[in-house]
Amino acid sequence: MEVAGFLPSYARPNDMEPDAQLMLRVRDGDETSFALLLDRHRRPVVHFLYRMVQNQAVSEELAQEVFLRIYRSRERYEPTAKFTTWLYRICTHVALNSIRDGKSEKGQKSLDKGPLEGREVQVEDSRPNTEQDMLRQSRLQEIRQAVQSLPEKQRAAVLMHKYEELDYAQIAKALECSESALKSLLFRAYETLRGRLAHLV
Amino acid sequence: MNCFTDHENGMEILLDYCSGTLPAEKSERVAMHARQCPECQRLIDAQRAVFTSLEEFVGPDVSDDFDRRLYTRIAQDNQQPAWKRWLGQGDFMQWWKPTLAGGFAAAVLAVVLIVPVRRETPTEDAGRKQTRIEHVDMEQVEQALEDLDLLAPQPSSGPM
Repeated sequence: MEVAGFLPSYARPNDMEPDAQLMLRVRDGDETSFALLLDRHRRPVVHFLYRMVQNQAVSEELAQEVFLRIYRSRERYEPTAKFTTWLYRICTHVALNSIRDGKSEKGQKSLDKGPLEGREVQVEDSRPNTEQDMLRQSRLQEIRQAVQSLPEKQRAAVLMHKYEELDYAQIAKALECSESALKSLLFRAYETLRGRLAHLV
Repeated sequence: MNCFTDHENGMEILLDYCSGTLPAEKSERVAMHARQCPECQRLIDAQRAVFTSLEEFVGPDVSDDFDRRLYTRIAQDNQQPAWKRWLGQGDFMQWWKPTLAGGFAAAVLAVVLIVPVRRETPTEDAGRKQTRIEHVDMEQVEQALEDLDLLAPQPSSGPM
């Protein structure tokens, strides 16, 4: 990958530049802008996919697929919609395909005790803490199962709404449905979650 | 203000209110209503519980070698011929499976529909009838010949 070290300062990408602008630079062959986009979106994309498939290895593999597709599509990129809408549309496609192909179930065993569990092993093992940990783990497991129990599109809609803070129009575009259909999908999903999680607080 | 369940955009207002994105004035109206309406307050509490619970579902740290693996994949991808890159794209993957399934379904349908029709093809049917007629004709001919033999004057065996 080239570094745009020889670009004049006015042409160099910077952290403040909007995603679409960076993507246009990527289209024009600027690899540094791609690195900036990757830096900006790597974590949220991996987290979105992790919450979709609940498997860390698979979520990283899928995230790589997402960024590879973005890189491949750079020459055809037109900033007709928000970059994040496009990004999460690709994420959703990749995640839904993976779920339908059953890829995420292959590693289901490792599946994941969750990112916190590894850290929690190191926690001191006095009895009250252990009990608290167990309670917390059981609670977390319940939350994960509640999310996992949602139909895939509802799950994707909730994740984009709650964690990525996309608006209704963006989520609808990402899921390729009308805004009213999206709202109905989202409200049903939250209704299910209220039924399953309301007792936790 | 109406209850969430009675309002046309009630669920949207509920989500926006609980996530703190509802404009202040509307938000105040919702709060006032909820103080007098146990049902709406129950919905608000349940939705807040959902949001709070979801906060706990955190994602993992991304592997340190994520970028290195990605750039390796990109470099490998760049070396592939264009048609292979195209085949590897999701666009292709999206349509080849349904197309294959559709083609198989069409083939099965064709077998189911065409095979019985072929059995009833008029020329074949006519041919079978013709064979049967010919068979009947031969019998008739043989019978006729035998009858002729019976009718024919027998050679006199008696004394002349």
